[in-house]
Amino acid sequence: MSPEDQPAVVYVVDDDAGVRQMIARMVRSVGLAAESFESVQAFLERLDPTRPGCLVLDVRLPGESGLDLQDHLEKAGIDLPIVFVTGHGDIPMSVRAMKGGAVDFIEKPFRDQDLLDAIHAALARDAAQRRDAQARAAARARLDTLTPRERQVLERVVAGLLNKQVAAELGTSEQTIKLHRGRAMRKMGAESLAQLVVLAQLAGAVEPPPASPR
Amino acid sequence: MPHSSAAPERPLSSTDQPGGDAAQREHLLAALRQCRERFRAVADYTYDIESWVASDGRLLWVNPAVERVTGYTVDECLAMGDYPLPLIHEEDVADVAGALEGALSGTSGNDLPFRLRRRDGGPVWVAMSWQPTFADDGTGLGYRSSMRDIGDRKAAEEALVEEHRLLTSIIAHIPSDVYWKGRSFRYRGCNEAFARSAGVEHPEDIVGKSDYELAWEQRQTDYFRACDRRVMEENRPLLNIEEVERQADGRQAVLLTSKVPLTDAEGRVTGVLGIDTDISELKRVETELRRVRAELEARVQERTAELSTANQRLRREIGERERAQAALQVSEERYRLVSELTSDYAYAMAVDAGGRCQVEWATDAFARVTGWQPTGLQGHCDWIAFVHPADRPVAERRLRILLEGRSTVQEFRVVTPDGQTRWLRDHARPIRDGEGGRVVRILGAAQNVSSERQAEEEARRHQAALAQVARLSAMGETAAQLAHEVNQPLCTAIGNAQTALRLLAAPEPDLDELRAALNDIVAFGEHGAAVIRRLRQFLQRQQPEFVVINVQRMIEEIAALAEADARQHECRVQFEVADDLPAMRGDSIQLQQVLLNLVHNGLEAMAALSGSRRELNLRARTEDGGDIRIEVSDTGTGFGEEAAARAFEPFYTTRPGGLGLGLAICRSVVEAHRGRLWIVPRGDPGATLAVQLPGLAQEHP
Repeated sequence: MSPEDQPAVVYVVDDDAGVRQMIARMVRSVGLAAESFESVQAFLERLDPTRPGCLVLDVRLPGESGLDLQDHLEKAGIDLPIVFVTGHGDIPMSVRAMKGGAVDFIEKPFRDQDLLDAIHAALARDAAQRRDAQARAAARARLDTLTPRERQVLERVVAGLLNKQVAAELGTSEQTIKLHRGRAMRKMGAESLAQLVVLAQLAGAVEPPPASPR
Repeated sequence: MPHSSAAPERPLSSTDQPGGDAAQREHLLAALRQCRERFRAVADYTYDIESWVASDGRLLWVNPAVERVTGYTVDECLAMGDYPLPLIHEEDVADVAGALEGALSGTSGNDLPFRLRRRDGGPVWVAMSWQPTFADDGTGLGYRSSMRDIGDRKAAEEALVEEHRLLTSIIAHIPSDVYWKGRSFRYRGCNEAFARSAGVEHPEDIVGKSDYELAWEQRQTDYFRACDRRVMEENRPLLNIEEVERQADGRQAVLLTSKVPLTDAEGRVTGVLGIDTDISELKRVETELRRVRAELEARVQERTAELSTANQRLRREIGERERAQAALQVSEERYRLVSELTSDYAYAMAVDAGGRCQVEWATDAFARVTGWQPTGLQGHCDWIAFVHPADRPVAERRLRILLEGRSTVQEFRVVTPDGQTRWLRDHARPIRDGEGGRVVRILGAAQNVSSERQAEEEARRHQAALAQVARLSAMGETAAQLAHEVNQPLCTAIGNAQTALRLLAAPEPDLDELRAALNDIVAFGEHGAAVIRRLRQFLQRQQPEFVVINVQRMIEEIAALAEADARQHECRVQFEVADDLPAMRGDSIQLQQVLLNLVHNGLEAMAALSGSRRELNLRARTEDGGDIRIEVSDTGTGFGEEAAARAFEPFYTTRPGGLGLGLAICRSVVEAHRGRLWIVPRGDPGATLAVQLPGLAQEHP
């Protein structure tokens, strides 16, 4: 089953049984799947990173705190979006949480819609992240089918060199370069040079351009 | 030679040449003269005395040597009728006369030694040789004799003989073995001593023998031979060789041997001379001496070692004694200081059959603390006289306990002679007259706790004010805590309500979910209300009310609240309350607050644990002294070293959002009840806090 096919799940981690049952119930009431855990340890034991979803987390958990968990997940390469919930929110803590990639920081008691909006946003981000990852993986797979020569040609074409320049650099004829370039484009599934550049970047064959301000 | 030259030429005889002519005669005379001159030259100057005696014994001729030797002149001799007898030493005359008679009768002799008597009376040794003389026709003409002066020779011979005797005597008597051998290694002689060693009877018996014919062992003999050869070949002495030899008598002897080469006048080696000195005895003595000396040294060393050991022991004993003395001194000094300076005193009281007590002795501090002299109290029929009237019931109860044979600790006041009041804490122990006998003595120690008590009084006076401050602080703490405690159920209730509304909006509402949500709204609404109620209860109490309280009931009252809190923490809580708890005087609400606080702390400490391990225990029991002890234990993270040390400091907290006043306030409340609150040190995970409160029985029996 591919990741997209799996239904998204909302993980709720809160040491207060009442609160976590309430949030789980609220999530279920809008037709989403929810799983609740009383501790970070319990959550980590059950986590399936391939499954799309998001995390609703109490900032102050006994043992490993919510912020600690955020660090922990990041280090483990798990890119699960987090919605923080707190009973006693304070500014430094929320700043840290947001910097760590939190989707939202919600103070108890909260309006149900606020929490649900935050959860939906988190799930959307997760889906986007997973799509990106998938595209990257696909592009990387295509790149791996290139011969070393085709790869050399691709790297130079993507860097903006003309066929003639590539031929001179690799010590061969422009005709041969055209042939390699055509094969590389076909293999990468690119219909234009612009598409080839994007795919090459996705595959990690070349450095992406400096991020444009969003 | 005047004599010869002066001799007249005259014919010897007219009949020498009968009928010869003159010339021939002249020639013959000349020849004769020549012959006579030669004869004279010889005869006159011969060294020996030469003489010619005619057959009738008359001296015909003697040469001048006679005067040189004897002092008598030739003419004097010629005048003697019986020459040479007057010249002969009387002891030798007979021998010489005999010889000369023989000479006249035709015998000859040689080298007959005898003494002449010189004119000056001294003897002169001569050796005489004589021969009869014959004419051509064979007729006897007497004899001729020559006497040779052998005085020097004789002296030399005598000296030699003397020397030889001396040498022989030396060799014979020297305590060493002396022997000498020729080049052929055969003995030429030895002394008696060597003969004995060699096992021969006389020294002469050894002459001509070789060592191989003597009593030595083969090995020894070879060795002797080698030494002898070496000495002779190298012509050099071997001196002072020490050797062990088996003697002829079988005795093993240690010999000091020297061998020297013997040489002739030309320095050629002719043999070897050996001198052996038996040093066996010397050696034995020397060995003995060495042994005795070694023994002596060993003894000396032994004795020295003993002495040094004894010395060390002595030094150690001295050291120990000094230390003991020093320790004793320190101990005495300490005791003196203790008895002089401390406010504690010890005492012993005798108890008579009627249960009355008399002070036997008491330490110095007794007088300082109580103001009474122990001897001064002898006059009182009962020591209780100096106890403060208000405390006499306590003192009497104390005495009853002691007389029943139990130890006791009591506090009571005494009144000094000048009317001051002192608080004493008295520890006393009864001594029975044997097993199960009556109490005959009481031993005790008392402490002046007046200042402590004054401080307590003062503290109690400040307590109300302090409690007020504490309550205000507690309010702040409680408020912060409540903010969270109220917020949680509130949030839960609101969230559930919103969800319920959302569920209702669905075309086919999930009724089970709806019911669960509504139930939770009720439960958490009530939970919030309970928190608020607790707060209100706490805030309502302004003044502590010290009344007699039933501790068991007081604990039961908080059980419900503690359990609610525990449920919220998903934790098990257990109460173990003994049913013999004494009553106490105090403020029940304040104490309940303390216990709830401790319970809540414990629950918080276990928040990080998985559910099965969360266990909280509250135990209450009666202590030996009648105190009430309540312990709250959790299985949480426990106190760290720093936390344990600082737990009771205000504003110290390990909890996020905590104000750090909880335990500080708890302690002030417990101390206001004359109790104690502390962390029980233990190895297990988790923490135990203990509250000890005075039971009522102790103050009012």
